[in-house]
Amino acid sequence: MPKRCYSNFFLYFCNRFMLFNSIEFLIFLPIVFSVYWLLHKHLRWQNAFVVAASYLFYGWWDWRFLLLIAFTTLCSYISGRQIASTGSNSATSRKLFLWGNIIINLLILGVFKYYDFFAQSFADAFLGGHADHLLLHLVLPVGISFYTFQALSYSIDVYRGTIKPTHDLLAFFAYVSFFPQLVAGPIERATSLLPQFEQARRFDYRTAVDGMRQMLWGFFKKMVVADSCAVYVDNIFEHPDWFNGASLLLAAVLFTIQIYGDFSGYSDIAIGCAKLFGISLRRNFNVPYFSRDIAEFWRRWHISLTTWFRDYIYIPMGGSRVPKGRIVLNTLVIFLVSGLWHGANWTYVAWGAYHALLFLPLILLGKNRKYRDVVSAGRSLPSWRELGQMLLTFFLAVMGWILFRADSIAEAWQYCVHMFSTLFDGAPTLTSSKDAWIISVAVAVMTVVEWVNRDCPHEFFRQPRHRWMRWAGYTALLFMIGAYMVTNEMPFIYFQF
Amino acid sequence: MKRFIKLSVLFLLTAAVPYVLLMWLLGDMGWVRTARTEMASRGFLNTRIKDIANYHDVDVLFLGSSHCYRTFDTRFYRSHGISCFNLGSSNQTPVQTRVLLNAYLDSLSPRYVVFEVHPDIMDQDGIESAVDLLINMPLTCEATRMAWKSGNMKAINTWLYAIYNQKICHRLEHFTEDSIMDDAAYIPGGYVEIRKKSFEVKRYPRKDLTIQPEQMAALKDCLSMLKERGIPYMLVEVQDAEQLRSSFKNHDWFEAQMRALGPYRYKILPMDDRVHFCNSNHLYLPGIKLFNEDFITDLKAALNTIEQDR
Repeated sequence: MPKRCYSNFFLYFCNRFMLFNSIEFLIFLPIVFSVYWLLHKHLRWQNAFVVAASYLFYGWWDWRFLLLIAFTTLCSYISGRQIASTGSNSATSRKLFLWGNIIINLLILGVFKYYDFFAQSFADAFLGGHADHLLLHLVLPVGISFYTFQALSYSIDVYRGTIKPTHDLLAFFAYVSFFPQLVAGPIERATSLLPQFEQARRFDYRTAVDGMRQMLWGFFKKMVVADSCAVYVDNIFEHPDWFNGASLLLAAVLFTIQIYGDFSGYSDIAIGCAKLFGISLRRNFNVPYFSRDIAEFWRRWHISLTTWFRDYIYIPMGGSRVPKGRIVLNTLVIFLVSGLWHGANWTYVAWGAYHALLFLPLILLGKNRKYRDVVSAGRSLPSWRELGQMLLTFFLAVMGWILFRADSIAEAWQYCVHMFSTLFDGAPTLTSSKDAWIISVAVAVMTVVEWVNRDCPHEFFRQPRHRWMRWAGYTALLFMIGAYMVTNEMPFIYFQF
Repeated sequence: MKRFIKLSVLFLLTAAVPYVLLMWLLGDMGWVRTARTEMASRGFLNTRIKDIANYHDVDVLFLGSSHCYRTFDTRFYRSHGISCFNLGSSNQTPVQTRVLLNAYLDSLSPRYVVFEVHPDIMDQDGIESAVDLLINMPLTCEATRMAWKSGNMKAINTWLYAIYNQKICHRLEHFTEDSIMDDAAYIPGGYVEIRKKSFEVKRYPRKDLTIQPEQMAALKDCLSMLKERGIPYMLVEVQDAEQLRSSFKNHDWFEAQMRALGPYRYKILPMDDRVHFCNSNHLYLPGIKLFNEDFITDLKAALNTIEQDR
């Protein structure tokens, strides 16, 4: 699929996938919730039900790809068992089973996600672009990058001895396919999620309410903030030549907000949904746009992926405890791989390289861990210096997202050139005053709420003491979702990764 | 667990009341508008629906989208002795046609139906047309079902606002739409004449035509409704400008789909995009004249066949 055919991608999924923001999911969730807790005294049945519900959720899109998940799951399960059973004496066998599993999984990922891209790039370079006979035109299985990485982490952790291999196949299937985080993360580790499926869960009222609250916030971010921005962004990115620089800059800023609202919204819904089932998932976003430098941004953006790359690629390569030349290489590799993980297009690679260039000076000067605390801790407002740092980091992120959003590097370049050369040619074009009002209010609400909750476990954690005030707040959010959402179903951007 | 379920249900019930009240209160307030609240539109559906009361037992009923109400000039057919009514509306998809037929087919009681079909319309979700209907026609069970079945909040919110608009404020019955809006004029009988051309030369990317399954199902329902009443029909596709028409990769496939449903007419007349078209997919006055003069032959033949069968 061409990288930036967002609208085609949306249309493709709208009628096929059981999105969180779909009527189907609204029916699916209460049924699964009820049956799940009816089975709470029978762990194996409960896990079997989780697997069945998750496979139904995924198979709603295309049942054939269930075979792929099942195969990936089985490979990792068998690999983990074999690694452990060969014992520490047979290092070669252990390595063989580990690398066998890694190669199989990466091969599947490579064929489905990257084969056509590399074949086309090869043809562009050496065959004059004629690649029709080389291309496979395979449909990209939704969420393949997420569940592959999750399955891989298990066998690596077993190999490293950080986790014992599980003997519970059902629990392992549930770990890989747990529907809230199956298609767009957070990418869980076996060390934290698998044990939760191996022991009985108990319903906890407070956790469930907190989960509902987090889901509500996620829906608001996705359906009001992100989708409202998307309408404007898609319009401008489709025909950048038709608009002036201020409009292009506004679209880039709104895409920055859109992708955050979209992906962090999805993560909030997934984490909140998991809480309803007594399952705790790791935090995936921690107010990244309140970061004071790019290093802090990367500690707060897509945390589950960043830490995955850190733990399974960066540190094994030596991390930052190697000579400076090697640090540069390690950092470049990690960012380029991270870029490529997002999709088969050179723009993602360029996006990774762009962030590597921003990150490298910090790591070489030893300043990459400067900001590990929350910004303006103990204060209501940031200092002028902090505000300036946050705005600069935000601006740098905006420029990166242009690369991420454009169809090609050339288009991104043209976009930037046009944006800066006509920046002062008038005010930005607005689609309508109503849209501008909705976007402004929604973004303002999101910014204020997330700022207030920046030191909390999630961005909608802090609540008024009185129930009527809390319920008034929830009702206001529900009203905004119901009244100002763009449509009822717009797929999440990260599904395509 | 019981407490959680009890409070969740209680919250949803409690939240529903302010939701509905806010929808009514903010519904028509400028920037905070929450639904389609304005009745007037360049498609003149409000006027058209009120106009239905003046027509009974017509020879021909025209159904479809803007291609229908901007093409089939009722004055022209009347001048040839054919009584007719044009029940087209903006972006009307078969899902909305079904609602309109349920409400008005028996009162109009046509001898023959011309059902305008267009590839772009068959691929739409129909929400724009649904809200147009909801705000402009008296609420019926079928319209309510359409709003809720769409699963689209814009349609549901408009339905909520329509209750307030019609049942509490009685605005629909007291509202009178201007018969001329900018360059558009409503002609009694349902036709809308557009007096300004806005043709732009554009390059449309090549695309595959598709049909939404729910639109196909609704189209079949509409045709079954006609068959049940013994009303013959013809599916008609009005030609687009060459620049748009040439972007359809698989129009043959679309034609085959339509032909499978009954008599289907798609005739390309020699027209010039810049002269005969208002925009890429709507004919302009000379094009409309050409089209209707050609179409009336087929229509008369169809009406004669009905007469002979009787």
